[in-house]
Amino acid sequence: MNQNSLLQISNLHAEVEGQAILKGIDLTIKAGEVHAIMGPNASGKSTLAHVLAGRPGFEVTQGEIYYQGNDLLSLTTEERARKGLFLAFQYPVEIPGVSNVYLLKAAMNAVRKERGQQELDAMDFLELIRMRMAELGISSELLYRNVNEGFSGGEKKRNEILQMSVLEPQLAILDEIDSGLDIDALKVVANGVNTLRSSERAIVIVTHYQRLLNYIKPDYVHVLSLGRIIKSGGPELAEVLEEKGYGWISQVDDIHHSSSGEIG
Amino acid sequence: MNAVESYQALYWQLAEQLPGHEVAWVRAMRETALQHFAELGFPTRKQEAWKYTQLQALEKNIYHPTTSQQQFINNDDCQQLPLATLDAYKLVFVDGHFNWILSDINPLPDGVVINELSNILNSQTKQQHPIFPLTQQTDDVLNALNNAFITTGAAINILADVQLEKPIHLQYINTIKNKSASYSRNVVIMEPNSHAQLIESHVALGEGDYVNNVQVDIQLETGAQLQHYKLQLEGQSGMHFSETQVELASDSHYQNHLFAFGSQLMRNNIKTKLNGARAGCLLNGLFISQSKQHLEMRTHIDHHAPSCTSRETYRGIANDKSHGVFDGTVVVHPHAQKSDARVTTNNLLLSQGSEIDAKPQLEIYADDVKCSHGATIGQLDEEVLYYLRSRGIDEATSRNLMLFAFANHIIEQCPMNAFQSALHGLLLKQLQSGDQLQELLK
Repeated sequence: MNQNSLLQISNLHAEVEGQAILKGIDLTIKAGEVHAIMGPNASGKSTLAHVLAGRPGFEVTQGEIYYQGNDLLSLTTEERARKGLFLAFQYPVEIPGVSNVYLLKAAMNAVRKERGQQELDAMDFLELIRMRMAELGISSELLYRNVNEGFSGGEKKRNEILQMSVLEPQLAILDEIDSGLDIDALKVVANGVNTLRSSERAIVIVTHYQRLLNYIKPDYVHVLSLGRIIKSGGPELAEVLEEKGYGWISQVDDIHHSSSGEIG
Repeated sequence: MNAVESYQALYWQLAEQLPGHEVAWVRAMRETALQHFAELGFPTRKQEAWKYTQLQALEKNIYHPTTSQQQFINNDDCQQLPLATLDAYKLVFVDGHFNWILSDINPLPDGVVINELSNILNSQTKQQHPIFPLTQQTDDVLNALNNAFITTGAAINILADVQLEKPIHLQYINTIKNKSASYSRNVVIMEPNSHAQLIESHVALGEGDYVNNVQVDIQLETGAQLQHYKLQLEGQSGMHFSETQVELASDSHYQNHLFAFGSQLMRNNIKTKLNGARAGCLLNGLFISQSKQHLEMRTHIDHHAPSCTSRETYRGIANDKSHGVFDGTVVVHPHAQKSDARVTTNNLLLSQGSEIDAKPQLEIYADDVKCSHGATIGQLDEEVLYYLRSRGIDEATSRNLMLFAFANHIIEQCPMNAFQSALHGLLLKQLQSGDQLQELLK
């Protein structure tokens, strides 16, 4: 395996409830890079994101994933999170009775403990959270509300970005973070993500639309279809997709298949 | 001799040692109750009210009433117990006997009268003491046993317009080692527009197999308000049987916050009668059962008058092979128009072997009313668990956090802050490695 890569996925196959969704994914991501994974509905984008995060019931049937040089699949969901892998959910979960501030504190303490850092004291913690909330335009009232309960779609997405910015992950995976956002909210979210860009960190943007990529410029774009990456390229690939739609890809896919048939 | 006969024989054997044995009306009251007990007999599963809970334990072994406190305990032992340090007028009962050394009610403010029940029973009056008409005969076998064997309790009278700042704490401590039973009865009379808070705590020192049978009779006169908090943390082999009867006059309000964590067997029964217009009650409860515990919570609310409000929320968590029962009935009688009633129960099963029976019931005989009920029984939400874990929080802590939040819904509705924080601590102790949450909740 490549020593420089942060994440290396080889021949990944995964199924959910007995149904094969991922059918041989190869992908290498280095620190400092931003990758966009695009694809039509049911292409397996979200499944890939959740397999990386370690969702119970999403079963890897074949292949390997190395993260920071270690076997990712041998780690529990929480161990992955503590080692800096963060998934922003497409549908953030509502947690009755648990306030946002509890969740942030518990998550931050867990991550800091893993990094050998001291727990922040209450004042420093609140100061940090308030600063990040202000940057993301999140009302400080949401801090004491139950996690995502009664939040608008936009508030939920911003709340995910808030968690990300507080936890400072090494690998951030954003699953359709743009869905349901108006243009202003989209800019705020994109800005939150861009602030986090750094040479030590990689970001994976999972999206259906090219729109978000106008605000977060990816280094690489991959197109996923029926559980495989069928095309990879630079940011220009997203623009071609925007112009020609996913139909263009399936044509490419057909050509790809027939050509490989010829070779075979 | 069958079990009923054994308890009857026991009564005649002990009659001369029970308080008030020289007072005619007391003896008459006891003997009527004993007769009633014999008529009722021990319940069978065929009786609707006893579908889920059986009293075979009382039939298999005959639990002798305690004639005295069984073990010496000092103030330090007492201070270690849950809720012991709450600032309150405290009456301590050990093994069914009033302990005046451990109690601390002085100085009581004006307008509050507290008597120990055995004093009332022993007072040589010809006529039945006025608080006793309150202790109605019910068709409950445990209530009948209590009436026959009653040894102690508190008679509390809050005079009109008195607003008692500090709560009154009835602390029941059981040190019983052998198979014995304690019987007590508390009577609370709240005169018009009086306000008070009552805490009832039941705890054990030791692991004895015992019965704690406690009856509470409460009368709220016009405009009176009572917040009643109860912690049932009996020993793991103890049994807790309790009936609380509340009568509400117009514009009065009663709250009952029940927290049941202890005992191998509990039957807690609350009967609330909304007799006067615009009276209201709030009955909330939380139980957490483990190992082979069997905890039954019954409530019965009668809307007898117009424009009364009742609110009820019970939550339960059952683990291992334990069994929880919630049976909550609201009856809206024909003249109780504009009644507003809501009963909700939410329950979590944490294991394959656990069981919860939830039965909210409405019986409505008036046409202009607002009534609703709902019940859920489920497991911890796997989506939420995954979300928490994906934020780096380990599985055990995530589960505990979810359980804490679920239970806290009931705790946070207690208006008394000091009780709330004490309950938070007790809740963490009920959760496996709940102490890890302690840090978080600071």
